[in-house]
Formats: sequence, structure tokens, C-alpha cells
Amino acid sequence: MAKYAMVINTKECVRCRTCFVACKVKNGLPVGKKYGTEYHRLTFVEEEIGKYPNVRRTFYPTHCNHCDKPACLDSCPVGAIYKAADGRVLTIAEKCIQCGACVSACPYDARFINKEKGCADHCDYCLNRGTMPACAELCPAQCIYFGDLEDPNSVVAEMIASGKAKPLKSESGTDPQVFYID
Amino acid sequence: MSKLSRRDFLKTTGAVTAGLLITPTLSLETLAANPNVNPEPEGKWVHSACSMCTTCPMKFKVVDGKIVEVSGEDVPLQEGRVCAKGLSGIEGRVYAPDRIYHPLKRVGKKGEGKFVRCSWDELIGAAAKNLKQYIAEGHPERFSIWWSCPAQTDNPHFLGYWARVLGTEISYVHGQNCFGEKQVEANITFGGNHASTWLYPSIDWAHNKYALVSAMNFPACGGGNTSFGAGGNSTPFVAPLVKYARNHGQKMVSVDPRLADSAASNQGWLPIKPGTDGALCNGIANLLISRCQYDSDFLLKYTNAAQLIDAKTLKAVKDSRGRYLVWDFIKQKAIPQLTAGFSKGMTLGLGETFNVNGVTCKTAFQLYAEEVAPFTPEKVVEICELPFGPEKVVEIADDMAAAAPAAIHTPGFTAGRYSNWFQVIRCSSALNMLLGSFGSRGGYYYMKNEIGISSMGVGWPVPGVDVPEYPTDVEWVAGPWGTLRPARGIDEDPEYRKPRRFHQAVQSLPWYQIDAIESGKIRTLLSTAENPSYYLTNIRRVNRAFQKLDLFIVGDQVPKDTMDWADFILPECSYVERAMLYAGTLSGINTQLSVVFGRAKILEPLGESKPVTYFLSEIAKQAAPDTFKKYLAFTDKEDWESEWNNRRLLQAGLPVTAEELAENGPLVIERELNYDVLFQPIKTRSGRFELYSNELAEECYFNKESVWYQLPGVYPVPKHIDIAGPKNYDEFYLSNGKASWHQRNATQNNRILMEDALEGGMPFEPIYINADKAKELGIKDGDWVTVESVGPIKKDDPRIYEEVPRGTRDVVPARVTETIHPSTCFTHFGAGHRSKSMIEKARIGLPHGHFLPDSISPYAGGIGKNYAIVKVRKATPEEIQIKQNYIKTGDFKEILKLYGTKEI
Repeated sequence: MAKYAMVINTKECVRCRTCFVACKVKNGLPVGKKYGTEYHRLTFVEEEIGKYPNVRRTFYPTHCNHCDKPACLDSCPVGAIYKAADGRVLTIAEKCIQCGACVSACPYDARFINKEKGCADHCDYCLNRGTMPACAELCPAQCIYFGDLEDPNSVVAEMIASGKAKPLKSESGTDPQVFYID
Repeated sequence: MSKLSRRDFLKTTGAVTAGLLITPTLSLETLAANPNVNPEPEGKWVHSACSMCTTCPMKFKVVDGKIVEVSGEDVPLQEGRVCAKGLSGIEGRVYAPDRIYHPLKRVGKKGEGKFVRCSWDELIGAAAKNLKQYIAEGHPERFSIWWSCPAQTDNPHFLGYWARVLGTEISYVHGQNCFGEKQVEANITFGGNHASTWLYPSIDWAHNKYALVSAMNFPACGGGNTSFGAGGNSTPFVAPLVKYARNHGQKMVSVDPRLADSAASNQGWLPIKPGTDGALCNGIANLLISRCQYDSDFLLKYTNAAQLIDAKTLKAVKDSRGRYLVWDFIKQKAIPQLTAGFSKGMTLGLGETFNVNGVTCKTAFQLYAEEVAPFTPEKVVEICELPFGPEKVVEIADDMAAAAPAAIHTPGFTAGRYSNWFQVIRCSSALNMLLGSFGSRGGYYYMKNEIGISSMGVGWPVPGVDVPEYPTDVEWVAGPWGTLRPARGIDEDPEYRKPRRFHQAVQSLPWYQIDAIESGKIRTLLSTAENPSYYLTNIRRVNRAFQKLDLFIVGDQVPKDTMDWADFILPECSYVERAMLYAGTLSGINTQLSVVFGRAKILEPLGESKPVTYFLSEIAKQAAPDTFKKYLAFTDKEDWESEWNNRRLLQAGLPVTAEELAENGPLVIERELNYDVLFQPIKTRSGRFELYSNELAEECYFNKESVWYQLPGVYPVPKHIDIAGPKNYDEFYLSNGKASWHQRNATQNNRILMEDALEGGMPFEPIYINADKAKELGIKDGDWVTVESVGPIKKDDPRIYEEVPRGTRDVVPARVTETIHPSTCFTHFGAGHRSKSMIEKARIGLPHGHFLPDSISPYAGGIGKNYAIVKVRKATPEEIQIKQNYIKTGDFKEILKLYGTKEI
């Protein structure tokens, strides 16, 4: 049995946006404002810190954190969201009533209502591609690490265990399983 | 990482559905069986290349005539990856909703952008009629082709061949906008055999310890614009190398007026006033010299630093046989400069003079030391307007000296930025010579047996074998990317008169081309795979010139600014609908890697689209049937493109055919890393890398016949030259640069790449202004501002050829940021298109080309593509309304209201 987690090393990221496009293209997300708004499972969080010239700009590719205590799951009135054994947080399309409660509940703004699919949408670690998540697979800088926390040889497990990789907004209380090195 | 097949994956995880942690409901199989899923398609991979910038190997799956899957190739470093552009190119360009599938004919006035469908016959007929007439008049060169980067252009070698046999003009017009000026400097300083390494730049990134990078959004915009086929620097190949370097102690510092997107991931940012990178290089060089931290062994062996120069006249001294001289400190006399690689007895002569037959001489090195001596750290801070104290300059020099020879400076891939940029590149070359970073581990790396698109031969039919001997009335010389081009100039100032006005590596001179159109020397123009109404300088002049053409044919897959001025639009098939051949070489972690990859036709051309080569051969059939029969009849054959590419592969001695590349994938050749500098002779006048440029001295600076006589721009010792600048508190340099996720100015119709969310905190369309300056001007983030051209003007810079018309202005949203030098505003290259045919968002920004005057850097022909000075203020409500009308409608009359004129 696996427990998937992800580490993103923002120090290695070259900000080329390949992850964003890989996710869209490989998961067949609608392009542009097809349904009145853009659909993206990845969101870039950037911040300028400091004042000229001692300023830096952070860059975090963010998406569903596949939390161990998902706020979305708790908020869903119809039980359409569940935590799979492999660590993924998943949404069952047939059950979803598109109420949007999970979208509001997520502290990471990682979810949206996908009108084309007729359900809430978010990163599912490319479940239906049956491969490594597209972002991790295609990142030119190879700064997105995807692995199994229960694999003793996993580089991801090691980075998290060492404390070098930390989740975002850990005060959210949802126990996110995507970690960042910055 | 392992790639599980979908079936394997489900087998593994399906077994644990019984043990779900939280709410067991549906199995993963059921979820996966959801009809809205996107399973990995079946189908066969076909091998080819991406064309979104300058090519990476790529493969495609085609099912029922449609591309359903894309991937990079499984070659070293790339390992199946391609970047955002490659991934989006199919949906975003090939299947774009506004893809042009039919020939179009203009109705209404030029510039209105109104077209109707017409037939291929009509399009071909119109072009053929004119060409036939020009041939009859004895002036086939009145017909001209402008072609673009070899990645986007359909077989530029064929285009050159076509022009050759028919006698038309052909021009790589954007060359000076791209790297043309740098290529000149590379040839002058390092010689043709060593030029491309400096140019791209080809750096042994994996082992580099310190990189000072000017003017590049690096590493995501590798080599200036992610170029593999063109030079070995694309993101999928370079990002792993830079990562390796970072993990092994590399420090990279970006020198740039603004903290570029990808450069923000580097270890330092040195904000610099535009055009002053030469002063920075000279300042670092001054520290290295004064503290004896330069590589004297390298300088003595491989450069002409020891060459003796007359201290009074500053001309090189020569012996009676015309040989350059050095001082032999053992023999205590002047001797002919030794061949590169040897240095016995030679001295750098710092602080010394030498008597050569009564003439007091200094070494080139001493002259250079004197040239850089005024650039103390304090002076550098002052000239460059660095926001740090002089200790910052010292820190950089310290870091470079400690890391040398695995330390480099690069002035960027593309050139032509300001009117002084040629000398900036010279200053950078010299600094690297002091560091000894050419041919060193972690420095500039010379490819051995390089395989690239320039080295694979032109593939022209062999005269006397495949076709008759070529017409001999026009001399043909080396062109860009291994092509050939006509030697003649097209106006009364040909490039090849003696003395040369411009170096022969100058690929084309845009202002000559515009002059030629205005004077009627060029009357019919085909512009393929490029967007001159966006990227050239002084765009209002460019578009006025286009109105004068008898016939203007513009080719591409999707709409763009230039099309609005066309008479006909040529529906060019996309990069997956035609054949081409690419190769690139770069230095990897343990090996030198070459990849040869072929683009087979993945799809039949969609709609009525066709390759440009088809269009040209059909024109020739009608306009010059005899010439067609003799030289172009092979184009009627079914797969002539593969035959052409096979000729190129044969010329390059490569053991593969075009068909094999398409069937089996890329040919990979790995060699040991070899740091030899003298793998080939240094082809400069002295046979050494020229710190003191003998060519500049003899051709230009001391040549009374030269139009550049005694101009600082061609001074033989690297020199910082001041450029014009803002004069008032509300004036700025208007700089521009590339976003790594765009293909320059050609992807702003690609709906994926134009999504707001993709931009993150780096919105593509606004103008970027320093936060303190914005506050001073009462501008807040998101405010609309009016940007007006105020310079540079001829009075302030004699290198200005034609100024921007008065009244040129635009209204754009402001992005207030801490990450830009207060002297400079920034817009993205590709923001602010001027075309009704493009998406609304693409019209929000400011097209910097309208604000760039035409300028000329001496001898190297740089066009000053970043050289604009503007006044910025908050926009009035009326101005905002006009711009918003324009954004909505694309009606150019709105822009003319801003310009205060009725005509472009």
C-alpha cells in the first residue's frame, strides 16, 4: 500500500509554467474562459518580499494538498469526497451536486466547479493517467518530487522527515500532504 | 521514476479498496470508469520536433488523423520532457480556433484587417504575375522574401535556393533584432571557429561555479529563448544542468534592470541602469587587474593581450612582413606574435613600455588596463546607478576570481539592445578572457565535431549533377544558420563595397529593407513565419512602408499584427504538417551530447493550408517556367522534402536518413567532454582571441575610408559608451524582455498560454514601474498610465537613424513593483498587439516596437531593440476610454486618436 505525498523545491524551480500547462493538457481541462472562468488545478502563489533592491519574489506552484484531515471532505453535504488509501483526496463525480461548499471550505483555494465534468474539480495526482502526476513528470527542472511516504527509499519521505520540506499554511489544521522547500 | 501503465496502476491500488481510511464508497475502478476521465490514448508515437520556439525533439500520437498525445523524446537530459510551449502548441496553435485554413484576400484598406476567402490560384497568380514582370524588367530582386527563425520557417534552405535560381531578394530581416550584432562581435573577437560558443552561449553549465548573467531571463529562457535545435540551450536540456550546478555550489547572479521571472530563482540580482553592463564588466576587470587575479597563462597563450601597439597612434606595430609583434622578455626585443597555444618569452607588459625601432609601444593588455582603470568600484556604482555601495562590485569580482576559470559573464544571447551594445559585448568578452573561462571546465565550452542546424549543409541540389550549373551573375555568401544569401546590397550602399560598411556576418539590415520598400526597390514582399509589424523598430514607419508595396503576402497559421497590412494571407501549414530536420549539441554532465532529429509530416496539412515551399514552387512554375523546369521540377515529386533532408544528412556525414529519424526517433551521439581550446585554429587576424581588435582597428577605427572612422563604437579596445537617457523625473527607459512561457510575440493567440492564472504574479500585459517612482508619480498598482515616446533622439545620440514620430503614445495598466530599477519601465515582448484579429487580452499592453527609434551600432549593425525613452503619467479618463475601445474593437482608428494623427 502506498501513501503518496509531494515535495516541491521552489529553490530549483525556474518558473517556466510547464507544470501548469502539463496539468491542463494531460487532464483535458477546458481552455480559457470557456465556462465563464478559467479552470486550473495549479495555482501560482507569488509574493514580493522586501523593498528595492533587497527584494525577492517567491514562487509557489500550489494545488490540492491531499490533506489528511480534508476540510473539503468535512464540508461536503453528500459525501462525494473521500480520502483514498493511497493518500489521495478524491471526488466522486456522480455524487457531486456542485454546491460549492468544498470550494469555499478549502484553505488552499485548490478546488473549483468544473461545469464540463459536472462536479467539483481539483488535483487528483493524475489518477486517470495512471502514471506519475504530469507536473512531476514533465517539470524541466525536476523540482516536483512525488513519492510514497511508506517507501523507505523514497526521496520524498526523506525530505519530509528531515524537516527541510514544510507544508503551506500549516495552521489550517487540515494536515496537508504537499510540502515545500524554499 | 517508473511509469506504470494504467492497467498496472489499477491492479495495484484496486486491491486495497476494502481498506479505505475514511468513507468507503465507490471503488477506484468505478471512479476511473467515470466517462469524464482522460485516459492515455492508444496509438503509435511518431517522432518529430517542436517548433514553438527553436525546437526540442518531440513525439506525437495520431489517432484518426488527429494528434491526441504529445511528449518530449527519450534522449539524455530531456528524458521525455518539453516545456509549457511545446505542450500547448497543438491545442494552442495547430488546432487554434482562429487557425487560418484558407488563402485570404484583402478587402478594404490596408491596416483595416478585412479579408475574404480566395483561391490558391488567385494568390499564386497575383504573386507570379509580379515576379514575371520583374524578371522581364531585369529586376527579379524587386520580389523579396523575409524569413524568420529556422525553427518556424519552412525549409529556409529551399527558400534561399529558390531565390538563388530566380534572382530574387531574400532577407533574414529579424537577424539584427536577434543575435546578429553578437555574431559579428563573436567573429571579430574570437574568429569563426570559436564564434558560436560565445554566441549562444555554450557554457559547461553543469560544472560552472559562478555565472554573472546580463540581459537574459535565464534559465527558463535558456540561451535567450529556449533554443535547442538552434544552439543547445532549451529549458528541458539546460534546467537539469543548472540544477546539477546549483547542487554543486554554483552561484548565479542576474544583471538586469528588472528582476526577471526566471532569474528570480537565481542567487542574486544586480539591478543596473540600461546600457551600462560594459562599465560593470570594465569595473570588475579593473579589480582583477589591480589585484593580479587574472589568468595570465590564458591571456598569453590564447589572446593577443601581449601584442605590441604604438603608444601614440594606438595602431598595431608590424614587422616588414606585416606580422603582429610581441615583446620577448628573454631576447629583449620584439618578435612576431607566437601561434596560439605558445607563449614562451611573451609578456603582458603591465605598466611597461617597449621601444620597437624607435617607436614607443605598449601591450594590448596595458592599453586595456588603462581603459578600465577609471572604472573604480565607486565609478561603477555611479555609472550603473547600482543601488548598492562599491563593496558590491568588489564582492562580485571576489566571487568571480575565486571561482575562475569556472566563472563566466555573459551579455545574453540576443543583442542589438542599445546603440552601444556592441562594445558592451566587447567588454564582456575581455572580462571572460581575464577569467580564462574559454575552454575551461565550467566555462565556455567548445563543441567538438559539433552537429547543429548550421553544420548540416544546405542540401541544395548539386549543380552539374541534380540540376544545371547555377546562374553566376550574383555572388552568394554565407547567410545565417548555414544558409546562403545574395552578397549584393539592395540599395546604393551595398554591404560588400570596400571598405566594408558592415561586417559580413550582419545578416540583414532592417532599415535598408524599409528604405528599399519606400524607394520602390522592393515591390512585392512575402513575409513568412515572422511578425515584423511587431518586432521591428519604429513600427509606424514599417507599417507605412508596407502600404507602399504593390503586393504584400503574409504567411502564418494564426493571425498577427503584420497580417492587417497584407494584400493576401498565405495559410501556412503548421510545424506538424511539414518536414524539417534539426540537430543540436551541448555539453552535459559527463558527455558532450548531440541529438539529430527529424520532423516528419505528422499530419496532412489541415484545411487548404500548405507549406510555403509549395507556394514558392507554384509561383516559379507560372512566372519562370524555364527556370522551374531546370531547377525546381523536383518539387513536383511526392516526398522531395525527405530527399532534401537526406542530402543534408549526407553532407553532414551522419549515418541516418530522414525516414529513419521519423520512424525510430532521434539519433543521439555522445562524446567525452573535451576542453581543448585549439581544436581548430582561431580565425582572427592575429590568430588569437582579440582583446585589442585588429579588425576593428584596420577596417574601421583607423581607416579613413570607413564611415566609422574614429568612432568610439569601433574603438579596438573594449570601451564603455554612454547612451542617451531619461532627463526628467517622469521619464524612463522602456525596456522589454521575454516571458519564458511565450514564443516571443507569436503565442498571444494561444489561449492556454494566455490564461491569467498561468501568469501567477507576473501578468503579461501591463507595464512594470518601480514602486518608489510610481508613488512619486501618484500611480498605484492597476492604474492606467499614458506612456509617451520622448527619445532617444538624434541630438542626444548620433547613432539614431530615424526617430519615433512625435505623439506616439499608449495607455496601459501599470504594475507597480519593487523588482525594477527606478530608471526603467518594462513590458513583455509580445504584450500589446495591434490587430483586430487577435484576442482582446492581447491588445491590452503596449507594443514596444512603436516606441523604438531606428538606431545603428557601427559595423555590427545592432538595431537598439530595447532603446526607448518614455514619459509616464496617469492616464486621463478620455485616454482610458479610447484605449478600452481599442482593446474591445481592435479598430486602429482608436490608436490613431492617441497618436493625434489620421495616418499611421
